[in-house]
Amino acid sequence: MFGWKRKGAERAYRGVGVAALVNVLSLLTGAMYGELDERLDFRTALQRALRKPVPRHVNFWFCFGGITFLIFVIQLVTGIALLLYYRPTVEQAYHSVVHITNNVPFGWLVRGFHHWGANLIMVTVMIHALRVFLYGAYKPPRDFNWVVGALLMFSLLLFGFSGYLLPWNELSYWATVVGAEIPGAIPWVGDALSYFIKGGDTVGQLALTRFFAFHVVIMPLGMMVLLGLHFLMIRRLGIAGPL
Amino acid sequence: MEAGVSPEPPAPEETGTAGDGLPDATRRKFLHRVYNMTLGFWALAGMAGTGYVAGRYVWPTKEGESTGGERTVTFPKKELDDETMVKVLVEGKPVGVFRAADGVHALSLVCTHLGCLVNWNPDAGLMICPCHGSRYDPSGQVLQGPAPLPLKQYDVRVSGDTVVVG
Repeated sequence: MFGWKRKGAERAYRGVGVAALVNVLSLLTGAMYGELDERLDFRTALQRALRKPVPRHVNFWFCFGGITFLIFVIQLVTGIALLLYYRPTVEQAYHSVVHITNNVPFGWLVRGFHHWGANLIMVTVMIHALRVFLYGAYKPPRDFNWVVGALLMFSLLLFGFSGYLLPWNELSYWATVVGAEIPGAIPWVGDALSYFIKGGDTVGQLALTRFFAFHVVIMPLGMMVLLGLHFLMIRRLGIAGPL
Repeated sequence: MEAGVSPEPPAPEETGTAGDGLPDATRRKFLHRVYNMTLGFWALAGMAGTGYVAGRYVWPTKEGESTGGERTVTFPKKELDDETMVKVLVEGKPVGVFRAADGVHALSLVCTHLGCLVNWNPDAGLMICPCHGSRYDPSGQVLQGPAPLPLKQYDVRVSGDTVVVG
């Protein structure tokens, strides 16, 4: 953030001053900080985590992975907020979304963040994938991390697909009908797969319920596992070298 | 290079040159202090704003408020003869109308302990709560049990062949 490059030094040292961060956290944790730090040694943990030298060739395009994660966290928080008012039945789903947008204080803001976040995350994740590809950062030993990344992108697509049905309006419904028919084209297992996804022959209450469970519980858990792997591998392997 | 004020006490040779025994207020320390306070101020402002929005958002909306309901409820006297207790809603709250040894009573059915609905037991001549066993007499006074307060009484009169409550 407020770092600077020392030309001629062995490595560019960019990082938030640990002591400044600690001061801000002291403001936040108040009187407890000194006592907690004595027992848990936050200071050392923070220093080890944050005092990482960043290679010179890292530029603005390297930020998009983190931006994608930031938007994902925003989706988690706004998603939980929406969950307080959303009703997942075919009779009430649309009305609950209208209620959130028009009646709940700042509901329009929470829904807006979630809607735009969903759109923007697709853009940022593609820029991130493109950057990794063009820098050749998928080559061994980072090849498995690329696979995890591909799974993550596919998970985001599934998030979008399942979430889009939940408002239960005309666009949601027909998009889901079309989307659930596509697997039907797979030979042999296609029809069964389509039936399984829809929870029946048609897109109805059963589809809404299982899309809701998928979007709110199954996908977030899966995503967190994949993200954990992704970040662990990055820390372990380090940022790939320059072009 | 790091920003931020070091919390350790100054080494003896750093204590100031002003001759008052205190460490010097350097330009560096001042700028660091300004930077940290600015960050701290905006962090607090951001948290306060977010807290306000979040608080307003999660507070239950209007549709959670209970509706008014009727203040006076009437029903045919015949029902009182057929059943041990007639349940009505007065202003949205459950009220039981029953015939005791000394006449017709109307009491709130909400136990004052933790809110379960009580039942009129004509054999015992008491209102008994099924949850924790509180017992009330026909005028609502607590005879036994964990209930702290008596049941609210409602006006009830029998006029002709209708019963009027409230």
